[in-house]
Amino acid sequence: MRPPARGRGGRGGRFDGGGRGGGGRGFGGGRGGGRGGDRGGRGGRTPRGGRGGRGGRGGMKGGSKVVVEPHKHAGVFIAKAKEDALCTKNMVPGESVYGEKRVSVQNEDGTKVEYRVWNPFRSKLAAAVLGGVDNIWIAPGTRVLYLGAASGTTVSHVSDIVGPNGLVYAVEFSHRSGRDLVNMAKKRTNVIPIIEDARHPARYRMLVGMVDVIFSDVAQPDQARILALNASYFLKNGGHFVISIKANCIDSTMPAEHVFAAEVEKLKADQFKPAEQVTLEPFERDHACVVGGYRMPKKQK
Amino acid sequence: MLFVPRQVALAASPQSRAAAPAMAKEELKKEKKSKSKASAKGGAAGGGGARAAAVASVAAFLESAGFPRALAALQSEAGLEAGAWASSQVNLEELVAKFLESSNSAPAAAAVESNGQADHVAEEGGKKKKKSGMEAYESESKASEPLAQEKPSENVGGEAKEKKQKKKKKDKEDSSAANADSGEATEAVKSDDQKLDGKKKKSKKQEKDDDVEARLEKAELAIKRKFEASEKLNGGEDKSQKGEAKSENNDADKDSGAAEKKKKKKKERTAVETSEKTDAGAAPAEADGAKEKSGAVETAKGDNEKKAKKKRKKSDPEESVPVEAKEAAGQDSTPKPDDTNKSEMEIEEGDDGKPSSENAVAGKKRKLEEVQGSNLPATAKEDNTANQSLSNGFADDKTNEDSNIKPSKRQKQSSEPKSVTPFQRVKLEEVKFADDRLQDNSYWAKGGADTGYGAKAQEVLGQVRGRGFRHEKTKKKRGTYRGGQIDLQTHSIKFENSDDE
Amino acid sequence: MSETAAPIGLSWAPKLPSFATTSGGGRNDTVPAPSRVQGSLWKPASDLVDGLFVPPRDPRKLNKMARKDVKDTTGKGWFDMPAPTITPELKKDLQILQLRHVMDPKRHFKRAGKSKALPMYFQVGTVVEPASEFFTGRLTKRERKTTLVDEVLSDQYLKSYRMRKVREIQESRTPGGNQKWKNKGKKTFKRAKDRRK
Repeated sequence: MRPPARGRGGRGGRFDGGGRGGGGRGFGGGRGGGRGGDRGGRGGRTPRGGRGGRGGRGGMKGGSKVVVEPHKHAGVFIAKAKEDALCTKNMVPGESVYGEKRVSVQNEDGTKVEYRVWNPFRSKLAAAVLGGVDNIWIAPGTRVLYLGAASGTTVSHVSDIVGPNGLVYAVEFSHRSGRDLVNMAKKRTNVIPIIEDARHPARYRMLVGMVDVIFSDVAQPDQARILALNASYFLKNGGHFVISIKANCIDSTMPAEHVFAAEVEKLKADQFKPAEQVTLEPFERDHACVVGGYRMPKKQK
Repeated sequence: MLFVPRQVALAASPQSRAAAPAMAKEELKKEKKSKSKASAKGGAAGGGGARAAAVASVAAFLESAGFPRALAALQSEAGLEAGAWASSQVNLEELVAKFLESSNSAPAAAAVESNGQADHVAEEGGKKKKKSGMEAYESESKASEPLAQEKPSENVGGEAKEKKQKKKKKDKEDSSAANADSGEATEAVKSDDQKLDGKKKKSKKQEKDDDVEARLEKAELAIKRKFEASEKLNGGEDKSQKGEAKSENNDADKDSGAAEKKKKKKKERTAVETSEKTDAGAAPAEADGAKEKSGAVETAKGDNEKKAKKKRKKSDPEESVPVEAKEAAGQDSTPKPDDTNKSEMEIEEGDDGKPSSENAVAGKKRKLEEVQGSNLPATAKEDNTANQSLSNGFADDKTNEDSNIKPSKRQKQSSEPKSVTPFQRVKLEEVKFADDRLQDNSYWAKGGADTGYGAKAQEVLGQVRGRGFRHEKTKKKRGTYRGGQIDLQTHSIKFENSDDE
Repeated sequence: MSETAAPIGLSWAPKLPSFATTSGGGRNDTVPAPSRVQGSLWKPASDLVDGLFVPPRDPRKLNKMARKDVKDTTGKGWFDMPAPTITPELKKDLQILQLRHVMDPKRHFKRAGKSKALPMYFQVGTVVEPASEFFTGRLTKRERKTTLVDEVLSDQYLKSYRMRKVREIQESRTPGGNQKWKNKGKKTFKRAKDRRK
């Protein structure tokens, strides 16, 4: 059965918490904000009045068994029970970053591993994966520059995916959400939080090395330019980009499809080679995710 | 080849501030020359006493309007004594104002005349090589004007027109923001100066009003007759002149079609102007005059339009004139308000006649200043509005890309934040889709949507918009969403990259 | 089990307790070559000589076998997720996952496909609820089961649906005869109503 409405940890029953920090609030990586409060608290829980209806229909409840299988994308897993759920392998077993469910597995040899459920409504990358993107290029061992890290929910999953051998540079301009980001990064050795404006990559060029993939979720009108700027600094030739485009941020008067097409053209002008586009519906409204390469070497034939 | 003379002139006076006055002076001198010739001819008809009075009135006007150098030139050339014009009984400005106010048909002729003259002035400004021929022509045309009193105003008008054209070109060339700024600044200074002058003049005017009036009416009648004659003359001359300047006028025929449009725009503009004027509550007579004039100009013949075209053609070379020179010219010339006025009108025109509220307000302000400042520029302006509307309309209708593009550019960069065309980052018509499937971003358009993981969410979230969407999505964020099976197929839309590989 | 005696030249040698260094190799399976040991859990009878495993002499075949043994994980792309030994319980869990589309009338899954192939790499885990869902999204200790199949079987809602379906199928499959035409007095109406459900 479906659990009734209740508050998320630490959010004190504030349900409309602004989602991804409303547009126009920050600069650069400024999609965050509005997510204050430390997590882990248990505010705003409404006491349940009895168990109504049929029992046991709820998705994955604590204590139920699930089967974890690898997903098509490296580093991503699917937890299968009565329902499916996307998962990543938890870098820090026993820790939940934003109050998500986990799956604890005991191997035959006695080792314990843990997976964290990845909510597509909270993460655009998860939405893109579920939307059926062909390749996210983020895999174990890769180095990722993440623009617009916000509170670090998606960053934590990217950190899971790249694993201990990979590295995630998470850029976020808003101090409020940057605080959560830093707290998350304290426990994850492969996340380097950068509280800076993504429009000025020169300010953090000393912190960031060459990366394989840039993930951009800045939701700014000039996000294509921001991406190009950062790519020129940090993205290796033949590297890849994943950008989430919010149509309303660029031109809310135009149909979203036209905005996407225009953005793709902009990317093409900046030495990017878009390979695929996928809608993030229904997880996000008027969003699209574009994946492609940067300064791709000519194919030898 | 056409713009060489202008540049030469500029090079001759490296200081841009000095350049414009020098040019103005030159033109004035030319005018004076022609005038003297005209008056010589007119003297045969009218007599020597009228000539002296005319010269005196011109001098008086020049003094009051603040043309010291022109005045000096006139003084030296006409052999006037300093202060001799103080006793002049004819107030030129007022004369013109009266004339505009009272006559319906005459202004039409006057407009024609002034256009013609503006033509000549522009030609002279544009190329010195043809000056001699032009002068001859000019003197001929002047000969038809019996009253020397009329000339200065017309000349000023022509000059103003020319400056306007310059200004216009300048506008096109550089950003209007800077332009408007400088224009306003200079205007402010000017208006301060001219407020005093204007007040003095008004008092003078009223003294003289009574005795002058009787003479004016006679003069008007005479003017009408003569103008009609001169119009014919001008028409004839125009043709000859056209033949002369054929090389430049190749597209004259082509442009004639644009005349009607011009007229329409002119009407709109004058309407706006008059409304502004009446709002300001100053010089309603002038507004009337403007109306009449514009109406008259509308009825004007095709040759008139051709002249305008020619004028524009000839002033084309001036586009290359550096900005400073033009600004300087604008500063030194009397009809400064005209310039700003003009630019503002151009903005209005850029908006396709739709008067944006802010423009209207700004225009009102400027008009007020101007009206307070001096009467002469106002009258000159009336002259110009008709003329300018011609050229403006022309610029709009012109098939040349540069002039077509420039108004919009200026609009974009103008200091006025509001414009009629909304700001768009994405041009709807420029968007082309690499794939037909990209034209639909909805969930159901995606492959495998029916049984996909998001189908359940789409059923809920597709129903709601705005706040409802956020509300529903927040519920889903809690992690109780059950979407069914996650398929591992690819549903993305691939871009074709084969073309650049 | 023990082919550590390769240096001698024999493909198979009896395990001698006297060799102290290799004595541990046989017993603690996990340490020296767990994959080998795992792979050698079960072999077709043809490979056994006198009930003992004899590795092939051909080095190519040996390599092949070794590779097969090593390939027991997904590789580093999925953090070396191991392929567990398929026990009957695990097999049933996987099968019930494939039959999810008939489990719940309210849920519509796509059929898993015709192939009944079971996934090779998977792990069975237990969901750990976050602290915020301690009271809402948690199964009590009594509700917790050891396998997925047990969970499904113990689900009351699914059980009623399953029972109904079974009864329906049974009724449709039972031969008609003249039973259903017989008037059974008062009971007849009730039964018809029952059937209509």
